[in-house]
Amino acid sequence: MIVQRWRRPAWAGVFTFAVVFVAWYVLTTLTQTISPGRFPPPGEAWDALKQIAVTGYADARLSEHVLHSVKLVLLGFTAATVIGVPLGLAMGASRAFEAFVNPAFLLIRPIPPLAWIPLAIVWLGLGDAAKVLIIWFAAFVPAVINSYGGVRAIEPHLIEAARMLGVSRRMAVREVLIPGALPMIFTGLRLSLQACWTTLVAGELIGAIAGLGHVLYQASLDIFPAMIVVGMAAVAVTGALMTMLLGWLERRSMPWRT
Amino acid sequence: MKRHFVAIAAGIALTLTAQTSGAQTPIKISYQPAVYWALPFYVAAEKGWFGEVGLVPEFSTFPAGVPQIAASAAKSWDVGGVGSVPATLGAVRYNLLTIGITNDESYGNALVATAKTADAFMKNPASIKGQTIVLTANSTGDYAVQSCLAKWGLKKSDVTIKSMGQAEIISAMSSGNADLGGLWAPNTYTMEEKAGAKQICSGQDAGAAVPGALIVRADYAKEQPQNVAKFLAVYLRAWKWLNAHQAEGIAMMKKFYEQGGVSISDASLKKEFDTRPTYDLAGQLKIMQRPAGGASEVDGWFTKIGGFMQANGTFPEAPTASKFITDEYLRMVDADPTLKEFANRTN
Repeated sequence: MIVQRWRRPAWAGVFTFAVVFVAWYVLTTLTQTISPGRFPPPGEAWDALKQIAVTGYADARLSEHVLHSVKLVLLGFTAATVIGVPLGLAMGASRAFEAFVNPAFLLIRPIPPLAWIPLAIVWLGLGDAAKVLIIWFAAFVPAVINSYGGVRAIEPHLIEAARMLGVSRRMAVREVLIPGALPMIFTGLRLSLQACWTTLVAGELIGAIAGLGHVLYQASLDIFPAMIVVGMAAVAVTGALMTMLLGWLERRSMPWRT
Repeated sequence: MKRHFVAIAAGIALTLTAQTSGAQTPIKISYQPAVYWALPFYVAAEKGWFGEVGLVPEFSTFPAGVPQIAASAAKSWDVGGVGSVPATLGAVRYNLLTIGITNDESYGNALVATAKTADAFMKNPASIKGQTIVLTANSTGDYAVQSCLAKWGLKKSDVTIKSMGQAEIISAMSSGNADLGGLWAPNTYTMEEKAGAKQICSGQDAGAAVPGALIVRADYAKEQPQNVAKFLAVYLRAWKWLNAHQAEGIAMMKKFYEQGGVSISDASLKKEFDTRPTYDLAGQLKIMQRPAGGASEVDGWFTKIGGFMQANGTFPEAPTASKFITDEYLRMVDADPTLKEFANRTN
């Protein structure tokens, strides 16, 4: 009975966090095996959290930083989804379209998103638009590749069956292509979302006025390990919440899989 | 004639002392490339002055003060030079001691405006309200800019501050993405010469003293106080020489700056000498001397800098200047006739 209860993922998660927290406390506070200069004790991290949440740090409070970052991620992610998914579907569905687009895509694909930063600043200035563009680049590639792969992974007999039944092209896309590719599309979107957060932190290193990346940048300039931990935790929690939201959307979009 | 004889005798004595004790002790020195206050390290190394006091310098360079002081945690260096803001940060985070002043860089840290906007801003500083200023946060440049804003009756919240490195600031201003930037020399000269920008307010204009600091790791200072004193003597001698041989000094400075990727005119190089006072041994001791129970001039400068950093949220409490600034090693130089003579040499 007890074994069964411990098998529940939620309990397992709580247990893992508890072990990590105790190890953190023991190593940094109780035994001081790790000095505060190298990794902050929980008490310092708590003080840093209070500072940024109440009085603010890096010119804003934590809630403002989180909202700013979420806004940038959502804009970049949405733009990447709106452009990347249809492009991937079209490439998967049409050999002719793929022949036109794929060479350019193959060239753009290996370029690291951060390499676009100088050009993004020249094109769009130091505002949020440049950061959204960089996030878009990061999210775009997984969105396209997985949508393309999703279409290619559809079993040919399903497409053949649709053709034999004489369904229209539009209906085939709506009833066969999209539902068949959806599992991989969502896999791509999850990867895209992760890429958005990774790139956001780098994008906000230059010329940001708020955001979690800006907090991490400022904390690194201040050599403030406790605030770095708070910034990282905020990125992790916000990113995880958005991934959970995407998971919920995935389950709603594919009721047949639950 | 007599002075020359004493100098030569002291030089021979120093060399013999170093040789007989077999003490060619390595010392790890950190600095940033192509900055005025680091020039004495280059000059002293070129002239072989470290060897004369039995030191073998091992140099390491850093792009900015923060990574430099962070590297002290791993004992990557023993002594060095840095801006006063990172020196204060290093005192709080890594127990670094400030043992001398490299130079007064109040003029060299400034708010710079692009050619098309500078005159209007200078005419009406209140028009800076609502503008975006690009600067390196928590640096001496940031301190100078915020002092300028205060001088004009503006608050930090009256402008939008965007933080970035010095190279990115130059790019942003040159490409028309920003009109106002917080820079330090020689980047100020680069902007003036390459993009026609103008310095509209410096730390000096705003009444903010912006010193540069000579720093040491506290544990190294405790273990090797003599080496710290010798290091200071070499540094002070290099300034003495540079100030006495400016033309030759500028030629060496040009070479040193070019090695760091900075190419500016001879006029700007000369301006560095003209606008950034340095201190000899007596001058250092004077500004660092604490009257009974009181604070030294240097304590006062760093107390203000600590307050600025506290206001920025860097630390909850500004450090007490007297706890990390010490003239102990300068006094060691002063008390040792051989080192004192060495530090005051102009040749």
